[in-house]
Amino acid sequence: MTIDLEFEQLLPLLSTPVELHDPTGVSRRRFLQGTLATAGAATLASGPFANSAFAATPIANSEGVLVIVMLGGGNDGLNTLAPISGTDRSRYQTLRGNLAIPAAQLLPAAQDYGFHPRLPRLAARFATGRVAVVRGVGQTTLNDLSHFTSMASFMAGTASAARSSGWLGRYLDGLSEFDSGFRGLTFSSSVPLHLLGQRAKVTALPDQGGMWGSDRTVSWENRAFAAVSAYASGPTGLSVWGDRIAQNGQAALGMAQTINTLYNPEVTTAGLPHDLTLAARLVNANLGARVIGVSVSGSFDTHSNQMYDHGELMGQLDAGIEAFFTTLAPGFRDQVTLATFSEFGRRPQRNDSNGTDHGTASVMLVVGENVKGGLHGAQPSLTTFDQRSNLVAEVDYRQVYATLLDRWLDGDPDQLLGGNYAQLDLFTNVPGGPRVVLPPPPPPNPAKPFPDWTALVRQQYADLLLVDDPGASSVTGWVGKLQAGTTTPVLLITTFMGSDIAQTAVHPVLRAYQACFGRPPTAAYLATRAATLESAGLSKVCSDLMASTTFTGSHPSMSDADFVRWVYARAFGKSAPATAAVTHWASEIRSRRRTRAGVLAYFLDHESSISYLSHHVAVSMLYAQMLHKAPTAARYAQRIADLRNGAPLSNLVSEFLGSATYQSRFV
Amino acid sequence: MAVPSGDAAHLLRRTGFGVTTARLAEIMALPDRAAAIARVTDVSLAPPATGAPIGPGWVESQWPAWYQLTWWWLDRMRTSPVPLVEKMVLFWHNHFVSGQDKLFDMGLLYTQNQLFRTHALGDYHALVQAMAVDPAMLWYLDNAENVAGREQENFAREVMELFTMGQGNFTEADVIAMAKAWTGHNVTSDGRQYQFRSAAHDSSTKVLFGIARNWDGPETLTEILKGSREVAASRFITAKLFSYLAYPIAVTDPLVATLADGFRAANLSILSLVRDILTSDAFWGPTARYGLARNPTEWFVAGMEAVNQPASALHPEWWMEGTGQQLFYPPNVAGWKQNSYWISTASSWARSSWASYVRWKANTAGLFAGIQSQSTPAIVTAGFEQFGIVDPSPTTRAALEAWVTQTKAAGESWSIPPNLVLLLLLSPEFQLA
Repeated sequence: MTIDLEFEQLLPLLSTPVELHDPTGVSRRRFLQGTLATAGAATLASGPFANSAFAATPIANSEGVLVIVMLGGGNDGLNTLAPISGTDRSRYQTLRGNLAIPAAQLLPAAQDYGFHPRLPRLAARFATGRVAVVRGVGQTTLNDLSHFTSMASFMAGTASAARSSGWLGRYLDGLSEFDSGFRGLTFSSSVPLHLLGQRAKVTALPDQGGMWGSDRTVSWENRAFAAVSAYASGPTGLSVWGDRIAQNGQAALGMAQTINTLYNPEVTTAGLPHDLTLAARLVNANLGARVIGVSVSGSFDTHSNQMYDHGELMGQLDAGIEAFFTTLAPGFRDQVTLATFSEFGRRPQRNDSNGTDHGTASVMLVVGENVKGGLHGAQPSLTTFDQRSNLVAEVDYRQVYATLLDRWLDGDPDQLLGGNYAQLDLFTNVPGGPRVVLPPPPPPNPAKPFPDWTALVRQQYADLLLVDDPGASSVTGWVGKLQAGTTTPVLLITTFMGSDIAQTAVHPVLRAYQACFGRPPTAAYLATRAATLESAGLSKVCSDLMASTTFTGSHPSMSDADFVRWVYARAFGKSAPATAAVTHWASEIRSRRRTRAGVLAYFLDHESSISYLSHHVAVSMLYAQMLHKAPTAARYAQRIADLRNGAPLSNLVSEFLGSATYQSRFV
Repeated sequence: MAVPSGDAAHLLRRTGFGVTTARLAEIMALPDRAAAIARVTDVSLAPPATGAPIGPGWVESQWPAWYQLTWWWLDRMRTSPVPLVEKMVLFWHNHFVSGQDKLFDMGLLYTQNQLFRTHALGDYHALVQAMAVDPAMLWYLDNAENVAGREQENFAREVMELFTMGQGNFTEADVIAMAKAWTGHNVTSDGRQYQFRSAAHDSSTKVLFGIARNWDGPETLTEILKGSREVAASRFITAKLFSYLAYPIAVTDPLVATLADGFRAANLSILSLVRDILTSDAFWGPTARYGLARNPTEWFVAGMEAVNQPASALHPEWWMEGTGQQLFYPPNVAGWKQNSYWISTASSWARSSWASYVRWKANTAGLFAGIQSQSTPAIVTAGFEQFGIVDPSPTTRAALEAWVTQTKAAGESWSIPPNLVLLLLLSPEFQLA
């Protein structure tokens, strides 16, 4: 879930709706582009919608990119970087009680302070001098404990009380090609205030690729794209919002092909690691991005249950930063800096719900190759507090912004922030400093992630058909086809998935599992049930599944008739079977001619069930047997719907084969 | 016909979701605006709030519980003869925010959803009091754990800042006093019911809004709504409701003051306030007309109405998160905003993805079957009628006619029925309220 604190929601908020001030936000130029798009509609695939038209000029070697990570809700700086020893340690323990992280668990940083135990990779990066921790950052002029006013101040980044644009949005306004949609981008469903300027166009990126408009190969679909674009070919005459909706639809379509390339192969992580992996790919694609916004998924507003919740968030932050820098191409490493911010820290004194209430100063992290690593700013006193028992901020957040704007983004901090703020010494080098010499790329291996074709084929036998030792001739036969190019790994996998062996030895178990639990089994569980299938038949598999506590727990007692209706629903997808049919099968059970498991097995082997559950089986195979990973319920349902909707299985297979999760199984 | 189609459609979009031909015809047949307003606010026609698929087995996982309740609610929006009630439930859901992301308990959110329905257009004071001790809210803003000597400020702050008055009407000291007043208003040991624990209540004297007394939680709300803060409080909610039904307005606008005066005079009757807003000239004026973007829920439900299929067939829940509005998962305690909040490339991709799913569902059901044999203008006009677009912009009409003409010329007329659905769902007209 995204946390999007954007300007309509900010505080002066209900008193001065932004629409009253900023009626368009879109330049007249968009209409001109719309006209061009309509004119070229007939040749959409190669015309003005071709890839190249939708990207900004690549960044120059001396230009910096800033990735800004929002920690919404108020991050506890005192448990992000906590005292390990010295005088602050005992004060910290007194203030925090059972929320104090034991000294032995903290990861030493410097000056008697250490990182939260869930930040091991950040701590390791810190040790190599690539992480600046700015301590004591907060508001030095206005102190407000409201999420919304405080976040508005952090996002706006102005000396004045104006809250109608953001510090990075105003920076983007001053760049060339500010309305290309490729200078500023954000991973959220709407554009947050800190990225909002007066004229810059910021693109909001979705969670998943495959967006409508990314496939330009179908003529009747291309005409629909042209029509949606043509909605923006002139003013709608309805309202400014009508115009903006039309222009936004046109822009989304125009960018779809280019943006979609970022999503392949699929990123199988979630939350910040997912978004920061995509952010790194966005930099690698060199589409002209200068500012990229992401946010941690979840709230830092830890009024209660802080130990666990904050730990999870720290873990996500650690994994996210790591994913970003490992995905980032070496050639861009000295051009990208990542920085975090949050609206405030937490109160030093814990509350009695095992949490902390709203506070003031917190830490900001600035990470990158050219960053001057170490502790910056100053640690606020743990004995002298402000009148609300909160930390006294030592560094104004706009000092950090001024530094990032001036030293990293080559912007004018005084003008952009509307005031002069003393800068910090956060960088060792300007962007594009010393270049890393890249090692020559390894020769391509088409069987990746396997060492060779033989290993790939054997793995598919083992994974998909549960055959550990296929005959040598079968393997060499497939290897020969792969070498000759008469088949591909994707084709091989789809063939295996639909093969007779799979249909007899694997599919029935997956149907039974789907019927009973509505999801795929684990690979190990599948293997044991497939063995049962072979030795004792599908009835036994069904009776084992139905005897499990998972099943009995969620299906307490059912009458025979209810059971039959349940079987119809689960095996055939039929919600209202004929009464006569229900009566018949119920009497079969009552008279002990068949067991309940026997009835389920009978239905599952029926053609209607095989057809109804075919997409479930395919998706189950991909997750359980290829990926060895349980899908979320939503993702599982979405995949099945995709197939039912006509998405080719080969597309799914291709995505899974290329995914990081699959590849990591064989590293 | 005495109510012009443009007025009738505007009223339907604002007080409901879709503009079906049947709904439109019913309103247009009424003698005047007053009769139309009386019709759309006639809450006696609302169906009983039953039939939610709630029961044992329902909670075996939060996902089925979530989507089943979401379907149930969306279908009530789609089919109710008085969609205003559900529209107000959505308003209260987004005002007195509680979210599944923190609660992991659809049972509690179902109870809260029914509470919003019960009070949707009733007595605002009664609604605020009931909301404050609703178990979902007690957990969401941590008052379940607010006990004497160990105060929790979360609810105390938000009830003043976001729920009733807005910033500038209270101080940080009031937050502390308010937190104390709400101590002991907790939950039963199973966590599912409100319970007042007198031993956990701070009955000392507290200074709230400059008044020193032994404040108790519920009376602080009465003080805000009917005492020293009543003017600010009535303007606060009036501005938010007017913004929801008419167009975004500042709390300082003179119109808000007038409407809020009427609201207090009507003893905080929400129905009375809604009727005052609907009868105001501003509601019918040019700023209001197409001055709001349909939020994703409004857009989904209008789409479901246009193709006449239920949520279980069209699966809007798969795309809700992408559009930025997943019911029961507000982004934070301030809820969702309006207009530009809903207009982004990411949400556009999510909307077009749902539209391209719906077109095949509609096509299978025979919507627009055979329409390709008609003339180009007739096809486009029929599409506008089906989707309740009564005054399409010339740009949209031209875009659609060019599309029909080219599709016919290319010999791919078969694609007209499904793609007409898609293109109307994505038209600017259909994405405006």
